[in-house]
Amino acid sequence: MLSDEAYSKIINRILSGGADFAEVFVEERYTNNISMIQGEIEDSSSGKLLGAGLRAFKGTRSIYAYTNDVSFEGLMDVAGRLKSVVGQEIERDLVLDFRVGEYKDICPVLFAPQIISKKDKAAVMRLAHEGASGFSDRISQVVVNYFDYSQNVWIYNSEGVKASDSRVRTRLMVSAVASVNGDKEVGFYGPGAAQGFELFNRIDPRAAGERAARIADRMIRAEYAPAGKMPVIISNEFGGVIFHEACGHALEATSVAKGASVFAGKLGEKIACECVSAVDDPTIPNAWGSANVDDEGTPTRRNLLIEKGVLRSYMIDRLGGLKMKMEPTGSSRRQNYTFAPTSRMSNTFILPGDHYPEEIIAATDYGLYAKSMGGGSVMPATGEFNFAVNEGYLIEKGRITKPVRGATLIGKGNEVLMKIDMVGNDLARGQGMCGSISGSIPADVGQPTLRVSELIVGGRS
Amino acid sequence: MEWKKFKDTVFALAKKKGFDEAEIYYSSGSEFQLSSLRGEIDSYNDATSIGVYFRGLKSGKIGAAFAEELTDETASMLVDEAFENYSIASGNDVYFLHDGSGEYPQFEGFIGAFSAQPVVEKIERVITLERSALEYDKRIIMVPTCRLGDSRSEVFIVNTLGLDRHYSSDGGVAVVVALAGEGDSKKTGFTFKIAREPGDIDVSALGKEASKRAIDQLGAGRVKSGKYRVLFRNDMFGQLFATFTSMYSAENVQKGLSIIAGKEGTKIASELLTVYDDPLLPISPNSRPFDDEGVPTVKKTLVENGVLKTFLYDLKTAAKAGTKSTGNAIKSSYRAKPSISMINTVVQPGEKSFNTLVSELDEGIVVTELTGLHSGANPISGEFSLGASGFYVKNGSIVNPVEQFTISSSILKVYNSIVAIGSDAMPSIFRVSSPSVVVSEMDVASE
Repeated sequence: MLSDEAYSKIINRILSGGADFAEVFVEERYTNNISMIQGEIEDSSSGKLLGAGLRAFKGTRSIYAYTNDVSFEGLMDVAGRLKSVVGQEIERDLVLDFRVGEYKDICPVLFAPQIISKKDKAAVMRLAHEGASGFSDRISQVVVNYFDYSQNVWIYNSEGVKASDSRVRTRLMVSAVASVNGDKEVGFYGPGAAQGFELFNRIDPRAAGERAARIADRMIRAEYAPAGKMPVIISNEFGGVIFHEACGHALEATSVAKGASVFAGKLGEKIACECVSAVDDPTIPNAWGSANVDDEGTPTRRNLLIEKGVLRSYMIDRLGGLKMKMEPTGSSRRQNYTFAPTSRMSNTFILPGDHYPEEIIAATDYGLYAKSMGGGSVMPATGEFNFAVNEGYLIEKGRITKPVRGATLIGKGNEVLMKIDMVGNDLARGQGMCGSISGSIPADVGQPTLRVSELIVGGRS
Repeated sequence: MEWKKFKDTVFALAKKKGFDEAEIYYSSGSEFQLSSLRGEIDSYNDATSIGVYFRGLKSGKIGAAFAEELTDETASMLVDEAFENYSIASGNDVYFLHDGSGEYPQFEGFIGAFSAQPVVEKIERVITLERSALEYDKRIIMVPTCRLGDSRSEVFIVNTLGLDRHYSSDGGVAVVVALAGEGDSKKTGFTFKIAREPGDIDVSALGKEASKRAIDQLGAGRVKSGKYRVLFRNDMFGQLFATFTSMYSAENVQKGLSIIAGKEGTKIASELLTVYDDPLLPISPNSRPFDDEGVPTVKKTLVENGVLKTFLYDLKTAAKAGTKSTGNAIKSSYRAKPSISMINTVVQPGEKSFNTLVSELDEGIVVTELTGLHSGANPISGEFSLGASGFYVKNGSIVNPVEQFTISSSILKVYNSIVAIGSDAMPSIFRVSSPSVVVSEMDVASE
């Protein structure tokens, strides 16, 4: 790392082209990826990423450049390129008095990835493999992936912000394939956290393997889901992907500032049924999407997005804030230094209501119970979404009657929010990787069990 | 540190550590990207990067590590990490490095036209792209995505068996999404173009086409659930096809993860379907003279008139199957392990224009948008259930746009139900060049 004085010079160089704002983000990351197929380690690789991203704003125009050369000369050179893009040459000699933000570390780590041997990591994977492959004789293929990283970031900007954060993440992912007569179904479970190897004091790798296998084993014997419009009960934990995809993305400044979101201009308005309240909370200790400061050096905070159906806040980064004339909310994130940061979700979930999940099922005459959700996608401008149900069941006369497979849920985010009519008391969160313009980042989704009064279910029968 | 010295340092350390052989993959490149919003440059990205991937081989097992700087410290980190990774490698797979033998094709991947184009000209073009979309029709509300980008890269692979190769390539892309609105209906239209030279991108036509696509979808209605004849527009068939190309990988075949395992020489598709992998396709920025194991690439037929001709092999799977690598070991990034994939998939075009296909459809659905390809499709089982929108066709004419329906089937069912192939081949950002294709029957679910 360079001295404060050196960063001050680099920032001044960018500003000398007439920029209103300049920022330097330096990242160093040690990372491990291990892949086990059918109980054998097929790929293990590790290494170190090192680079810096420099950014300038002129009005609401953003200019971004990155490089692997983090030396003073290297960064001055990139700063010079940014300067020339911004335009006119003006003499700037801003003396930056960097203020270090003070915060309590919300993601303390016991066993950092660097001090745990790869053999120990492989041993955890083996347990997960055994849990899945031993679940039933229909399980024909098990893939276990493990990854961890230890990321250090340093952020300096022309407003005197100087921040650093250390982020450690560890994740275990199990995919189990069940086969019957050449027919195949896949089950997945991938727990992770913003912590080190101590994750496995909390997560039993064998049970994680069993859970992935259970989904595949049940689905391979299931009939195809019925298609058409019907009530859908979405289970807790990863079921929250519906909210993440269909609503969360449309509450990011990225789409709101452009006016490209169905929720643009709706602050204070009712956008959801009264039983729906939701937050984005990057301050949950050791949660998968948590951080002490965001990737612009703004301290993170819990943001109440929807309160009893009324839209209260968006997720806003610095540039989005300039465009929307609103304060940043500590929501600026990026995959790594090769991406300019933007507004992103962290741990986003619907808050619990007061129904027991059993009660919600009992109150439903006919419909689909989506127990495990797969991934999905959404078009923020229209709110149209699509996502897969990995584990589904049919509800008939208030009871779960049989497993069904191959279902997808499609709809529009704003319509679905209005159609949530029962919210359970069993809030839980699940882990995913969220992809958007600033790359792929760890994000928790979550919700209690809830019911959407009607949704289009795509299926084969 | 200079590249040649770095390489020698790493190879010496690898030998000392106990690896039999060693290989370094080194890439360096630059990327430039502009986007426009409301007539102004909204973002500007300019990047240079390098990456080093080291592989050590010992008794048929590999250990790998990566880094982004060339220093003495990095050299020893790479070798130490790789050795620890090697120490946990297990299984019966035997890995090889390539000795540089074989015939390397002529390759002119680097034109340099994009890097030579002045920035002011690029700025003008991206703004024109947005304006042409915006001015197409009053109902265009805005252009949420309007981007021009270009990149260049240089790849070196060198190993202790004598392989020592490199190539350069460059190319560019334009992407535009237009948002149209009328009453309560809001629709987006998307177009893109990949090119080797800026002159190959007609920004004005591209912007108009995106807006036309959005406008055409306004007021979309629903379609009744049932079985329909489906016409996939060229880019949509390309996307669907690309989602399932992992079944051609010999790795998946050998692991029992391919639904076409054991079907070489047999009919897997309608005889209208012929598919190539063409690693030297001039239009594609993904083209290359050798794969990421250093093996020379070659054009090959995968499916000929419906008959499966070959799988795709890397060094390891080829040795296991007693055949030769097809030069299809590809890294998704410099720090990823090479794995088998298509380089440029080409679905051979037929004779009929898109309009002829529509008129011959009689009653059916034209699919012009697919969503959920990464979640609603299972590349192992071949099953898919995808969100879609498009047009309802009756008596051979487009009647109205339709939205929010799903199409479900399995890829081999699609292969076998192909009844017509268009002449409108379109190279896509998904590394597939495909014409429009008609499938005789698919499950469509909506209301």
